[in-house]
Amino acid sequence: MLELKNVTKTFGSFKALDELTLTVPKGAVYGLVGPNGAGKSTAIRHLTGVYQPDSGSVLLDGQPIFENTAVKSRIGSIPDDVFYFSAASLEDMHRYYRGIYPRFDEALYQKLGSIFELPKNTPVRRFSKGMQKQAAFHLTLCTRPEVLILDEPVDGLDPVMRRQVMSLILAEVAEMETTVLISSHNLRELEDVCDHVGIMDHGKMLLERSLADMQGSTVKLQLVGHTPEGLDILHESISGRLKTLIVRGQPWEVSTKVAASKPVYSDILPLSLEEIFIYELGGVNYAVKDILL
Amino acid sequence: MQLKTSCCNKTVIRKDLTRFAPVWGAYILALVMGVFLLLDEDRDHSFANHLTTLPMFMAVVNCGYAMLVAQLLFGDLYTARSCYALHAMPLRRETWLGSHIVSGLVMSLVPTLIMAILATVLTMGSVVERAWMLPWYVFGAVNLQYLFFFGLACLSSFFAGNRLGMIACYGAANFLAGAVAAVVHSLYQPMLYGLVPGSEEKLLVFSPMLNITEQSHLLEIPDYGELLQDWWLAKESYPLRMSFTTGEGWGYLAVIALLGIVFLGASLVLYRRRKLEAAGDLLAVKPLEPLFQIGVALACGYGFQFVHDSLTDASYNPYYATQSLGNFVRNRGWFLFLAVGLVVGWFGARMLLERSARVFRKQAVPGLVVLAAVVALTFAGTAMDPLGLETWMPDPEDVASVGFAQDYYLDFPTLERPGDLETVMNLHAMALNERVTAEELADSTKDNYGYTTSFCVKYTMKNGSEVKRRYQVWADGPTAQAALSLWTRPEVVLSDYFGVFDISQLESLYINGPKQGITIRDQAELDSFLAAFYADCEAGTMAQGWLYHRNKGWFGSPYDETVVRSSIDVNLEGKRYSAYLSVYPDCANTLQWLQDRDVLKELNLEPREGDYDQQSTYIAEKYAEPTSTK
Repeated sequence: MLELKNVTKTFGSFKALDELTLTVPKGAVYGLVGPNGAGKSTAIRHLTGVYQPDSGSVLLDGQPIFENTAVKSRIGSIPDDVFYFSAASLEDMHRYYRGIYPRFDEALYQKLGSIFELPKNTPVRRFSKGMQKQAAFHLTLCTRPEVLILDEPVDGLDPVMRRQVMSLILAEVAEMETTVLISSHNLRELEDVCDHVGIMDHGKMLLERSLADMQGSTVKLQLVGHTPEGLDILHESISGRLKTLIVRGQPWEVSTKVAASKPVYSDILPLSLEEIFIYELGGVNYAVKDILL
Repeated sequence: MQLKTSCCNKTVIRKDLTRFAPVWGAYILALVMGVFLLLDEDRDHSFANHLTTLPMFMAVVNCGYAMLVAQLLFGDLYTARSCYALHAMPLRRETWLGSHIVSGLVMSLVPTLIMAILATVLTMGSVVERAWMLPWYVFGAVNLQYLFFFGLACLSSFFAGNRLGMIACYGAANFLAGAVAAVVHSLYQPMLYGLVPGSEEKLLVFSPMLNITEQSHLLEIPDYGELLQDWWLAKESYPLRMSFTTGEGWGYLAVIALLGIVFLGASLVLYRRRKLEAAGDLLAVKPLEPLFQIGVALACGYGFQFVHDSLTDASYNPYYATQSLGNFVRNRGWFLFLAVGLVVGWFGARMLLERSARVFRKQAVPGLVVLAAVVALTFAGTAMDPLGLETWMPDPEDVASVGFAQDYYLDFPTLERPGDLETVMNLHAMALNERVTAEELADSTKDNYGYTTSFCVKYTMKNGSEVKRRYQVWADGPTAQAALSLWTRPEVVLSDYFGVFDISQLESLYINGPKQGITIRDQAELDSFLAAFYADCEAGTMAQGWLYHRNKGWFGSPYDETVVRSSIDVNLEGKRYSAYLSVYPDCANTLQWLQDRDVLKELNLEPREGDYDQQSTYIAEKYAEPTSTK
């Protein structure tokens, strides 16, 4: 389990993280969401052992991460702006990673080479942004991390490669029970892969829950007819005769109540991640739609 | 794979050496070329001699190269992208540092090893005994120096957050003391009449770069020039043999190398505490920021003053210095440049620290005002001379001996005749009373007769301390006339060129006169020369300075110089000295001796007309006896 416990980090007079608590269960695919400046990258740098918090703790399976080589060797990270040594080729970086990471998997490296098909001896700085990101995935996955931390992982990738990368990530999760944390300010790209989400703003965690819990506790109901009694309605909109209701409750509970009112038409639909957050956080007066893209 | 020990990582070292290979490869090339440049046509002895002086030159090279290497190795700390990426990897900071240190040392050891091997080959056939060892002594010296500079550069790297900050920290560590000494010497010391540079130079012990280049006593081929000349004069009739010795500087090198290791240890401490988010900031250690701002403001303030001085030639010339607060007030340009420099430096430093141009805030002004007030106080305080340094004169009871010379940096012969202390103290008092000012000199030059001359006195006190004073006085004034009796003393005449020694131990003499050169080895001839020389000293005509010999005659045509400068090569106690002895038309005995040996051209002792020889009417009027009135 990957944890940030009451972490505070200040840069001069600016408080980047304000008693942030974040928990990523083992084997989860965790989506960390927030607007620009929310503190996502700062949180990630704590999780990768780059920053030391002013207060609080940063742990992997109960062990501190900062300056702990045994723990850090189990963590692989791909930042949004990937670094390579100037004039280094993919092969140079391969040798470097192999020398630094004790669990580097040479066989996997060769296997992924046929998937990514990147030039081996061309300086990486001459790659396109997308190719550089692919190279980062190529190298990082081969370190066989137990925890994979990705900051804007598919930014710059074409749609085909995005799908391919996400497939690889999910395959890692399935095969190796890798814990994945993906940071993004775009909910739509996280929707298909994440099973846990957390939303940050101004250095704080606003909401952190598993997707199943959220989807299980809120439903979107479309119906034609009278609104059933006893529903906890978060939001209602009407278009002609069609009513769209956002209702808190288990799907079966809502379904039972709707059936009892015998509407002309009714349908229970899954909420998108974006809709869940909009309506879950609407009660705390956050201008959530200003936060989310 | 990681090594079992965590002090360094083989992969990191290999990466450092390969990605910076062009730099240390170029260094190897430069050293190899340098070795070949030391070769000349006399390689059987001169190459070895050049090797003995190489450590001094390499100190300068090491100072720059160590900084470059540290910049390369630790440059990843200065960019957020590289810094975060590398520190996310499973390596402890000790491992990073240890690996980079090993890489940095290899980048010096390998090139200098190649240089040493090449130089060893080139010493084959040298007439210097055991010459093959010289390159290895040089190898040791150079790497001990490098260890110091590299340690200092590493430490500077961790004080800084970017490359500019690193250079600033490194430069300050190396040259701050020298800069302070220069400011004191150029701006403060001249404000006190008579004081000479000296005490501020003790600050140079804190300037490693300047100190190390002074440590030339590592290797030496004793009497190199003399041995060559003797062998050549003997028409190469015997085999040339030389040997080298090691000097006292090795202990100093060992100390600074140890200091370098201490710096590397301090680097580890700073690295462990370093906040990586400082990447890109000028300084990574925030408490240094106020110091940096003050330092830059002072550097700009004093720097602008130097610019003012060079542009306007209105400097406080140490040769005519006597200052008062009134002078400061009059010299408004000087103050203006200082003030502008302080402001520019103060806000410029803040811009560098904040990486923004928006630094002109009210809150910044009080600090600047305080700094300006402190600087003004230092100048005012110095000018007021609260310690009474200008007017200080010793208690004769406290003086062990007294010396006299033309300038403070020359050897001071000790004056040992009865009454010398009283004579010198009297001169000292007269000079204090005369007190030539810059304004007075400007006035006097209106009639071009304001010639001045200078002298220095040195008191060696019974407690072992030494005090020197230097005074510029009117050449035609009473003080200079009183000094003539000391100027013409044999030990003072010769100390200008030869230093302090006993000329009665003269072994041979070569005189290169205007007409011909002669070599004197016969003892009787040497004794007769000395007798003529001493006679002119006693007569008061041997003072070395044309101002004392105006209107005495000239050589050849009226447009020739009024002196003959005989170059003299003197053999004394086995050592050879070369210098000029100026013999003037009124040096009757020496001139006769030279004329008898047909060394001189035609001499005309008739006074020559023209402004050149006139005495100053300004001074004559200034020091004229008051006429009595009825």
